Amino acid sequence: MKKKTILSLLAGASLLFSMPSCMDLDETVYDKLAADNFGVTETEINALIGTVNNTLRRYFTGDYYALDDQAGSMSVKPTRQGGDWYDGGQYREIYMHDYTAQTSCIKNAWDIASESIGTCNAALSVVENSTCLTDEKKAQTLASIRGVRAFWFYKMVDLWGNVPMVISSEDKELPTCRPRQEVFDWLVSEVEEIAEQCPNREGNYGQFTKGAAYSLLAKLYLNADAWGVTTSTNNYQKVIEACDKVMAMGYILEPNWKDNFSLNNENSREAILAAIYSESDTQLQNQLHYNTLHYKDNIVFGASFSAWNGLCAQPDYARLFPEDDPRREGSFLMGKQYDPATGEVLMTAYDYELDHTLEITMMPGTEYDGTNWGAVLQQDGYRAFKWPYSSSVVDAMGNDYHIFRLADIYLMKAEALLRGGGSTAEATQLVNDVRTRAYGNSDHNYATVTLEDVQLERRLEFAWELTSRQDDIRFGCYTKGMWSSSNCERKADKYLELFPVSQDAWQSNPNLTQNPGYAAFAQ
Amino acid sequence: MQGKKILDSFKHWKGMFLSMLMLFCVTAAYGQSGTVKGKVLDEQGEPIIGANIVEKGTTNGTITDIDGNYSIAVNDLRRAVLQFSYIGYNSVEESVKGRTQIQINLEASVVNLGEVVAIGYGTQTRREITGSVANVSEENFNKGVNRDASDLLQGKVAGLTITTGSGDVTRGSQIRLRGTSTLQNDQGPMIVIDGVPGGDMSTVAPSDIESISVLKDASSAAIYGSRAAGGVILITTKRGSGSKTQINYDGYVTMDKVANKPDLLNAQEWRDANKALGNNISSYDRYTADTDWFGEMLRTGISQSHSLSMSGGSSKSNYRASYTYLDRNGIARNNYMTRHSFRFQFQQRAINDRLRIGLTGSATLTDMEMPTADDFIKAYNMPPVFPVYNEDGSYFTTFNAEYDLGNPVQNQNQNYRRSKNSYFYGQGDLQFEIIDGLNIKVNLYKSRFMNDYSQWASPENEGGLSDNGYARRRARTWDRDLMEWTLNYENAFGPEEKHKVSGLLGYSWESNLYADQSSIARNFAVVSMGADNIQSGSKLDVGNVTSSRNEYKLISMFARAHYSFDERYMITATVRRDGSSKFGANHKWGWFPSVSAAWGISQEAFMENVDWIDDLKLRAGYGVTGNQDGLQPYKSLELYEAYGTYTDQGGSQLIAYRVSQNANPDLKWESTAMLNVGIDFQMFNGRLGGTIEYYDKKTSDMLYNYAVPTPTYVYGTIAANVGDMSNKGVEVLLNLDVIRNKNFVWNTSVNLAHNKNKITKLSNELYSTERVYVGDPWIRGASGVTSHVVEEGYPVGQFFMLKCNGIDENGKFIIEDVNNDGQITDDDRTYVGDAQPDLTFGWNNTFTWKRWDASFFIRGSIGQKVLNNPLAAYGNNTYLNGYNAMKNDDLLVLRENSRVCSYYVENASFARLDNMSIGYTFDTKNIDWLEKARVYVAAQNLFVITGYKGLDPEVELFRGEASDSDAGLSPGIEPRNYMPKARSFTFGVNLTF
Repeated sequence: MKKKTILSLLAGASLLFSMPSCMDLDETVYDKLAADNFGVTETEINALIGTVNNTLRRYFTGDYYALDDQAGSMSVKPTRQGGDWYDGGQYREIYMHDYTAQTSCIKNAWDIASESIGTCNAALSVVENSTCLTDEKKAQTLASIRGVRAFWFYKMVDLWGNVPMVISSEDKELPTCRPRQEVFDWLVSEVEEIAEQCPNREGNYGQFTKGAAYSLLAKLYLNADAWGVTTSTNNYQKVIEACDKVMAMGYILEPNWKDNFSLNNENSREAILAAIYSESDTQLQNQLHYNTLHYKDNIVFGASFSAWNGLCAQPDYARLFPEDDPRREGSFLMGKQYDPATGEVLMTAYDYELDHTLEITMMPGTEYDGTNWGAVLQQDGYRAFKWPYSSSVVDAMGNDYHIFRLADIYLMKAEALLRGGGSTAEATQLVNDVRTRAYGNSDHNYATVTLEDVQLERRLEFAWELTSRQDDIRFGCYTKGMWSSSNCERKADKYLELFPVSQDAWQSNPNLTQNPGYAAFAQ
Repeated sequence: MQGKKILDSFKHWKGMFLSMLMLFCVTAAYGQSGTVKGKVLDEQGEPIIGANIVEKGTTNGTITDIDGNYSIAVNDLRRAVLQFSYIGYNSVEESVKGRTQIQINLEASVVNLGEVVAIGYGTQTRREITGSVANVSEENFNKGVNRDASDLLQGKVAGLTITTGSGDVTRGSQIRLRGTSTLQNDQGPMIVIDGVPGGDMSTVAPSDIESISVLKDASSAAIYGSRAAGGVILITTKRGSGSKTQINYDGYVTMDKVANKPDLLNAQEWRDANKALGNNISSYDRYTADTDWFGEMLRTGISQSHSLSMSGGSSKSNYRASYTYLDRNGIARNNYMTRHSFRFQFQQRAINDRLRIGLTGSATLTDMEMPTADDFIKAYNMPPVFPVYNEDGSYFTTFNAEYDLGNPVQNQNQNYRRSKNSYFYGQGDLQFEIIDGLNIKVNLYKSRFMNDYSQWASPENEGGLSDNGYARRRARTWDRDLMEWTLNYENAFGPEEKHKVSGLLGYSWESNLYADQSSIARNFAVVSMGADNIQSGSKLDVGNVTSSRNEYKLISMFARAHYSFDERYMITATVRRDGSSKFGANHKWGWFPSVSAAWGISQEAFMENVDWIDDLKLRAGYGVTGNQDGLQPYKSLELYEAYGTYTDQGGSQLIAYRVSQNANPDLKWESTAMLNVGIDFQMFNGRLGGTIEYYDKKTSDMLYNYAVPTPTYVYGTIAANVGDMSNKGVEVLLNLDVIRNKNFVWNTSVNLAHNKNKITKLSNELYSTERVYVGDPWIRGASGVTSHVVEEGYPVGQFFMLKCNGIDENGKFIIEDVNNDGQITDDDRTYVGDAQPDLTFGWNNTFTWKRWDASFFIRGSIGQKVLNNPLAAYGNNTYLNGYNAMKNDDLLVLRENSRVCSYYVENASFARLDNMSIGYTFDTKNIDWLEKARVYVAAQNLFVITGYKGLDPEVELFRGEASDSDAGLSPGIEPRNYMPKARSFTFGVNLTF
């Protein structure tokens, strides 16, 4: 009896051990999809392309406001009374062109662009290996992913010039920085190669379409001179050809300029490449409202959020807007702000009226670190008011951001005509088309336009749209600060037209080399 | 290849079982049973009442009566060994050898060498131990209100740092043994409760704990292999013994008062300071209040605990059941924890005592409310002239929409963050003695932890204003299954049984399954139902409803061999082979060996005439342990996850998928090798004893999320094994009976620990990391400004920021231009001290005078730096017009905005009177129904001696959860969103019937 018990006990024990599970350490994944099971249906491929296109939503964010608009002449994030937004001096460094490899918004912008390229590379390999797509759909999908990747390379070649080129997710070698010329040449051929395979405009809002490809090509050729790269063709002729292609695709200048920025601006027929945002997505949000509005501006719009009071327009930029240009009121939140409930002017901390003045005034005695950069009053500066704020906004705005739109194509072509010795009449017509649409009449049309007029028109048209730095470099005024009253002189060296490669990027890849003019990375 | 390996190991196991089967067939002869009687006396020959007598290796036991008499029945008079023990006396083991009368004299002890101490998968006497094991038993536990084992142990063990950084009673302690040993979410030591590894301290009520062992070095911890790199804490719970039934009641009431509040300006001081600066405060200074906002949020917390246990048994069985109720109310008005702890243990012996079955069940049910830390920021910010309530009794809400302002008392009253935790476990063990000395044991364990979390922020107050009401419900489940088989052999042979051998073979299988689901809703029209009716919120974003589930498995085989000769030469070797599912396919298994030896010098013949040395033992050990605890599962796999939405061509919002991480198929074990040398001594008849130890610990293949370049990779970091870290240290424990006579005993004990932590490597041929910026001090105007670095050649906790050499005559910080380029930028940041102490110490004193007992305990640390972040934020007049500030010399001097710089990095050395108590034990000799009655008063955190200017020099290692990224890598920040600590006074009663 006793023996039997023991025996059965032992039998049970050895049975336990003979179970295969007793040495099995395979992982069961419950809440994610294994790579080899993913990308097998068209729905899954579409979900992946969703992520590729969503990388564009990382463009319209604080770090790119800083590099593309604040380092240019458009906007500024001044330090507010008390020190809000000093943030280690990064926005001072951007504004005064005093940036270093450690300036954190430069690091973040580098990370966003390079991660987005990595995301595209990973998606490309999935789509290339997929068997569920028709040949035609597959070719189109691949072209459109390569298009998004090309956009990010374009931003890197624009901002940093000499950048690493990794164009396959299989390539795990640590890359070196390639000369701007080499990246540019590859980029041009890449975009030319995919352009015709990309999807058409119709029904493909939010995708990288043919129109986006030719817009990108136009951007590349238009900036080639300013970027110091050489081509074997007539760059401006190429710009014109690319713009003509886009203009033949059925885009129109939206008769109502504001339709490009409204909550439902996905309906704009002017949009060529768009970052699509949603108020109800908790990821990759459009937070321009937080960045620019004062803590109390929300009251004006009947919204409940409390913003961060950062970004505002550089005074001299805002001054360029004629009083009667509807784009002035359409771009800026200006003047005293009233509580709709009481009709009284809102009051800020420190007991000031919430009055968004054009001037941004540094308070004497608040200067930082031996520079002229000091703190300004909370309410100073015009705020972004281009994309209307809906009262339901909390964390995320639902307005989309149009990276490329037809007005840009018009003005690029006009600029190329003028720079390349083309028809001034045609250029004038293009600029006037943009002005007529803006004013709603032709009363403000030019008889004939110069490059300066095109430059001005671009500024009036594209406030807050991340074109400022690139345009300023092309028009040769990048080093000129446009905030005369600040007394914060910008550094004027030519090398500053390229940002430094971030210290952190170099840390993880010692093969990277620093751009000329900046302290070389020390081993 | 892998398959064959597995097959081979099967063959191995099957072979073992066949031989075991044969062993079973051997039947042993049983000896003659009988009863042993006698007296237990102390050194003076006085009877000891209530001394324990247990037959070794059984649960058979009894206790002595009023006259010190005992009587115990044993099964085999020839072979039985009796263990005599009593608290405060050396235990004695006596072989019966056929006698029926045995009188024993117990000696009062300081360190008890015959004491049986829990080690991994077994016990050893203190004399036999070859590794570094510290043991703390009930009489040395911290006094006063204690929530769990870490409270009992704080400061008691050299090298074991237990940090209670916040006054929040729901927040657990942060524990490190011999320094931080990994960058990957250091989880601190592994907790083993009654032999079950990986337990949670909160599941054992302090009154159920008999003793706690800390396995400090790798040679003693290596038997736990993979999870022992941070050390191991073994908790042994009380068990029923003998045939005497005992009922025990412990109860206490505690009063908590705030120990230290921030020194903010009052209304008049605030007005004066603004006036001095020429500020126009008319829009704020419209109220007549003089509010102490911290005072309004705090209270005197009254807590109580009642613990009832019963135990008893027969010669064949024993049981213990207990229930503890703890109602702990913190000093913040919305901070409490109510806990019901149930525990029962039952052991039964059968088949001539060869079969032993044990059952343990435990249920811990906790209700708690955590304060919202950001409310304390509001308490810093709100000007003192603002009232809490308007004249009509309604809340003052005028500034609720202002940036960084809002009525924190209203937030406190209307909002909540509550948790209901249920922690159940059951354990069954079955042990069979196959032949004498050879036991096979199976241990089965199942636990389930469930957390039900509710969070509510009402639209009526600042907290819920921007969301127009915010509610969250979250449910988490953690299931753990464990099966362990062990085969244990013990024997002694040779003349006088001087050769002792023991061996252990084991296998364990464990799985952990985590599941989580959460819902968030906003925009509430009706507010009265809070988070209890989440569907009342009409705004639901994509990503607001989530669920997740993950699992990992751990499989281990382990063995230990111990040999000792005459308690003079002892050697122990262990080996463990661990497999974890978390690692890459070819790297799942790791070896963790150890060896240690000890030399009982005092047992040598040449020491026979050295009278003043009672005991002297030299120990040395080396072992390798592993770590995988901070690592999330699935890191080696390439996976896709849902992330964000995209809009398809029809305009529908669909879920986008993305690669979830940089997969690392080469992910493997992190290992920590430790050399430990120690010396234990007892001299002057046990009056002076102690231990001195040196260790050298090296972590290699250190797990961390290392930076990798994008776009080569999709994300900027990858979980990988790259770096090395070193911890070296010395620990000293001294124990002295200053006075020892019949009526009065004064015992003093000191422990000192010095640890030097250094990151020695962060790069290899694949990954290159020079410096990682960590730490987010978080003050206004300093977003993205970091406070610490993780860097080769520097310790964890290295402060790295702008160096400030004071304030100049213009009221500006004098910032050092470190790179001499004429301007101050991030490039001028430099090393400005670290948050690791040079020395930690504990000093305990106990006094016994007749029926009175008293103790006080001081602990502290020397040499660590703390960033006084509240002073950086509020020690200036930056926002004085509209916000409050802290009183200090710089308030009106400083003419620069607040900033994070070395000016606020302070020396935070301290000594704390951690606890003291006075107790009286009544004479119950003549009350036959009452065995023991003691009353005591205790006080905790009575005072702190420190030069640190902030609230408390002892701050948390990290603010969020241990699993947060980079948790523990930026220690030494006193945060602004911080609940002050309490000073506690306790009155308690112990009764035994």
